[in-house]
Amino acid sequence: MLFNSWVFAVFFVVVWSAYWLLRRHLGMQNLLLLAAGYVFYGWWDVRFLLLIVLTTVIDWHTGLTVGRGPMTRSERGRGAGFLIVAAFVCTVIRWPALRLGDWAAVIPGDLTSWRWFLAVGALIVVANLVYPVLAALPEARRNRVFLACTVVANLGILGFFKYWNFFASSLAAMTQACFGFTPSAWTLEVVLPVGISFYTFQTMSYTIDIYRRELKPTSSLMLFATYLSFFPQLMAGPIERAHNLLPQFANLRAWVPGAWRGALWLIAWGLFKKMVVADNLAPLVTAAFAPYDQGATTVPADGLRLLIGLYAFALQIYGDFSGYTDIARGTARLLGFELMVNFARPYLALSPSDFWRRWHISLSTWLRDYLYVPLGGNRGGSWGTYRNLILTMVLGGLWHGASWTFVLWGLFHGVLLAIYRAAGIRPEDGAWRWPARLAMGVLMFHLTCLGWLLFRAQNLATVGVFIEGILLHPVASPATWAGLRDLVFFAWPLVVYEIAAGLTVGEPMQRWPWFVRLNVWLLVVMYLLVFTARQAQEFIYFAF
Amino acid sequence: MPSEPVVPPAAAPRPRWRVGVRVVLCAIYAVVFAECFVRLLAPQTILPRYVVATPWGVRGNAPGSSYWQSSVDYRVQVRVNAQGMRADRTFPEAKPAGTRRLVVLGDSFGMGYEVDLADSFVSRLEARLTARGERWEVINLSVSGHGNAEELLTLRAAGLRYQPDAVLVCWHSTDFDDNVRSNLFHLVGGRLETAATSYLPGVRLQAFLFSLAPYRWIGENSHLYGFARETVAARIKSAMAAWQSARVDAAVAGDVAAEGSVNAGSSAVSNYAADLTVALLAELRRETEAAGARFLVLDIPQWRSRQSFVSVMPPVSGIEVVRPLDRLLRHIAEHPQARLYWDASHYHFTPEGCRLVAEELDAAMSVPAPALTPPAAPAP
Repeated sequence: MLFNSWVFAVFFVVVWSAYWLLRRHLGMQNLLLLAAGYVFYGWWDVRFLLLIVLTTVIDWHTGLTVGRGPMTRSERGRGAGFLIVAAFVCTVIRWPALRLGDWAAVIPGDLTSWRWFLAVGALIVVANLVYPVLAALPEARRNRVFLACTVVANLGILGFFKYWNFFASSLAAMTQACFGFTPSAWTLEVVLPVGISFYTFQTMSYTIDIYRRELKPTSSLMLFATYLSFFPQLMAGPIERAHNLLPQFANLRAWVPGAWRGALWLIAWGLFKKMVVADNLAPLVTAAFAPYDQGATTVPADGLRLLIGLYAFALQIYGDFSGYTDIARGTARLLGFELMVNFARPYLALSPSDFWRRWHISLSTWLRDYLYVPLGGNRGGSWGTYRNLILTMVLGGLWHGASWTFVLWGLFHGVLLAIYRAAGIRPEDGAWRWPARLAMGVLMFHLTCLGWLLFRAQNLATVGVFIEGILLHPVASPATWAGLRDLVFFAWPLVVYEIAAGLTVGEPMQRWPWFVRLNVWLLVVMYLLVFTARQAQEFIYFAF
Repeated sequence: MPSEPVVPPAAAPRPRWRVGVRVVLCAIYAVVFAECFVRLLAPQTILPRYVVATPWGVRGNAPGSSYWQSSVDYRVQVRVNAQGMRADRTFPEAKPAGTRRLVVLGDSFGMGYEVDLADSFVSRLEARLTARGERWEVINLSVSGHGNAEELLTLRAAGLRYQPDAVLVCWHSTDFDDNVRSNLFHLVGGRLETAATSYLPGVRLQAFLFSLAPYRWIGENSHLYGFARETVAARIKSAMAAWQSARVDAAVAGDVAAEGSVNAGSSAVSNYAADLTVALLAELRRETEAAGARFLVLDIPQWRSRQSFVSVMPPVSGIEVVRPLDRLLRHIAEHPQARLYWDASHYHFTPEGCRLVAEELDAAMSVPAPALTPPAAPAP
């Protein structure tokens, strides 16, 4: 279910209406949100809902055990029951048969159709046999063991779905080269469950925070499941921390219609960024990259066309991802929740560290708190800091997927961070004059674009072609001018708004005079009505 | 002595009438803004359409109406005579002695949308036929939006009354959907049967709205209105087509399943639309020839790009089909800068395109009708 679809619009109106009708019943509201989250996710593929439930149960158990002490048998029974019911619903029931009214086929009788259910049953039995043994360990050791088991389980699930194809195909290529055969059993063509990277990191932060005694665990399985499956941010973040979001589920949400104006603006602006900017620039990006994605290596005579394609990708990925976040924040706010800010005008950054304080903030702070700091942060001297920065960014690159280009993208940003730090360049501190700040901003934007080239290219040859084309053949063709015209036409409101917002203290759509706001609203609505791309694209970050 | 705290005076509530005035002014401003936005950034093609219900149950041009069509490329006037034809004169039903008549049935292509009357292929054809020394009258009964089903009803109720010597059906790819959507006829076991006696989508509402002078003015001048109308109409058409397709899908799938075939689903729907089209054309031919007139079908090529057009007409046996496709392709190959369709608006023919089509029609009509095997009787 995509945010930019009529199905979601209908779904949200129904959920929103029912939700506020239940505004005096916290438990019912949370139950509704839980059901809505599971329907929202299951709409894509109900089988993978089981993974969310599995993650929920594992981290809820660990959270309670580490934060409070061993769980009672009844608590474990609740987790086991939840998981087994989910296994039945997600893997046994034939939902297409239900839709067609073929009642006889809804619950199949063959053993094969029950294999995942039986596997989950076996897992529950084994876990309940092992649990008392581990729970009897001394507290410090028990906490370490449970944390380790949970991290391994979470990363194991994430790693399998995210990296199996990469390793299997690499291994298959190696065995083909060395021994002349391809083991077909390894290459499973595993489907990547949407949002797995986001909710895995979210749940890991919950458990780690409890281990660090920075958070108290929740004893309510339903509350934790609702927190983990909150549909506005389930598919592509923000990666919310439990200390921010979980308490919001534990308290009645306030019915504040005054807050809805801001929420509606976030939704409209997010839709604009996605459906007008990102989706209309997608053909420009495809035109620039597609030949090289398919193996071409010819450097074009009109290199500036590639530069336009690269600028278009920078705006496309920003419009796409930050558009998703804005819609997520807006829909959450309509339900009385406040999600964290995930983007803060990143292309106005003056340095790499400034950029990472503005881009995908929920991931960059996650990496800082759970990777960079545990690695030693800046406590190990200059070289140690550089190493930690680079390692953190490389792993951040790998979070996006198993590809050497992602590794290079992370390495590139890690090295940039290290260089700026070594040189002591901090133009964002305010001591610099505006021409110098402007120059640093332009430089940083182009460095970011270079990073996006590494990110978007399917292979290193493409990177070489783009760099050579742009630097050695800076020639414009009619296609270049047509591309530039489209780029300006679709992206100018975004660029102007970002710059104007950057010069405004506070939330622009609350600070600007009402007549300016009226015109901004009209412009955005008209762009949405008239220039919504015919070919709707899926959100880019669904692939991560 | 401590001074008393200063309490700011409470802001007086704003009078309701002021809020109301502000809302109204904002609404007016929003409409003006939207109109300017569309005019500047997405200028629309303005194609007003004045249709009324005809006694034979389908849409007809509003008699005596006159309106302008405009786009970034042209501004043309459409004048409809008292008989609901795009023409500057009226035609008596009785054919004058020594005069031959061609009845034209079609949609907006046949009506000559987006070109002046004199530039339309129908007018050009009349001029060419007359220039040959024969006295011809072209009775143009085309109505924008018609499909072959409506054309069949029009032929029966109006076309044959003019005692035509020839009938020309202007066939276009939109007829596939139009024929299914109108649901005037359907195929039962491969046989064409009447399913409904009238198809008048939104005619009463349009008639009411266009009776209001301000609405009419907006319809003919507002780009915002043009955009809104096109968007809403496209959505309604698409929804109706989907609904009809689902209906046909179920019927055809059942039909096909009963016959033991596996060719069901969406391909069955498109096959059904093609079969329905062929059956309607065969019926048009049969009734035309039963009245002693020559029957021709103009296969209007579909625009793909400025240099590429294709024919998507299903194969029809026993029908004289005039195909201007080769002439258009040849012309565009020789004159790559030529524009044969208005590709910035609604993809009707330009005057140049009309000229080529008229030449092809003239060439076809200058020779006697070929002897063709009548189409096989529809399978029971």
